Amino acid sequence: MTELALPLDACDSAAPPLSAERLIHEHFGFVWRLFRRLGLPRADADDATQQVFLIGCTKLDRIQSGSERSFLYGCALNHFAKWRTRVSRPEVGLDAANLVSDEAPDMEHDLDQRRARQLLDRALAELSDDLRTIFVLYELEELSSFEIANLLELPRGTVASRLRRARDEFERLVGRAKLQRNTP
Amino acid sequence: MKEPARLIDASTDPELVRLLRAGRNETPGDHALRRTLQAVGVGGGVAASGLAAAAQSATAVTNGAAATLSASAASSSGGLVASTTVTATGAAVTGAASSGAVSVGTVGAKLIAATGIAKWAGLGALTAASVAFVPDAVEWARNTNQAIPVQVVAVEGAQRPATREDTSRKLPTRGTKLEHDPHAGEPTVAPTSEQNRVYLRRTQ
Repeated sequence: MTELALPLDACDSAAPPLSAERLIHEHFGFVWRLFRRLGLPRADADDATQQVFLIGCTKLDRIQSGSERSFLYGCALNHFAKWRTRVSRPEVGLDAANLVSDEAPDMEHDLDQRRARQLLDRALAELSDDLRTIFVLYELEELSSFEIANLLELPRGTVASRLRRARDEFERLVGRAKLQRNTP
Repeated sequence: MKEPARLIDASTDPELVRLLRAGRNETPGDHALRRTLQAVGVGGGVAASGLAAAAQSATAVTNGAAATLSASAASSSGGLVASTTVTATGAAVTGAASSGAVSVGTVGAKLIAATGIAKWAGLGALTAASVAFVPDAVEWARNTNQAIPVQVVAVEGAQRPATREDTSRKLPTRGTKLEHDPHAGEPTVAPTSEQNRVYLRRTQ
């Protein structure tokens, strides 16, 4: 369940509906995938993404053009922090129950894709938050390091060094997983 | 500063590329996008099918149905310490919540309640919705000591089996016995309970 503790000022008729619609259409996938890669199950990612856009809707007039992602990203991280306090640790195991409960609604994805995502999430979960965030934004969401630096308010050099570390670590984790799988 | 090539393009490890591609290609379901559009009031059609389908014999709540949202006192029973009733004019939001999983908050001047997930039980035999609130919504209920005219803007039923996630985070307080609890005394939720979301917009 997601909590709603939003301000009184409004997602009402005063908000330009087209802008809200555009905001959602253009960035829904980005926010949703971000939640997914941070470890939220699909149902929770749906809820969390909705909450982010409900907040975004209340503040449309305050979001500067060109900084939509930054705003949404901030909301998403805030929401993720709350979510994580509720669940001790994202479940990313490969057990069958998790596969069924989490992925069953999306039957169009074949099993191979689901397994790949499970492995991906398991590897990502082992990265520290700092590294994982930059890795996801760069490697999966294809943001530039410049955009990431702006988004996270970090120097570009820091982004570059964290990205290097994240990639090394990710490759190591994937390699280890392969080794474990191939070991009788 | 030169951008490094992305792993998905540069890596020679097909397994690694496969994982990255799977993550990059994952997309949210249409229903999630549609639901969010509805929640902010810019959606097109409204999926009223969930609750209606679940209720079958009851009149379906549809988009635009007038309703009254009121908070009423309820005896404290386990974790269910308050309730509210949503009664649609000429129709009925059916179901009685068997476990508290609803959070109500003020979203905006008009959209006053975007509910969380209610687990409905006793479908087909009920004429009004009694939604049990979890404690974090009680304050809202106390502060809203009045009936508020609302409009149902969306009703959505996931109609999926309760997941482990559901059962782990939506349990009523220990000691609460559910109507359909096959293990009396053990707080649990029915594994096939439908989940419905009701989005309400204040009409004045």
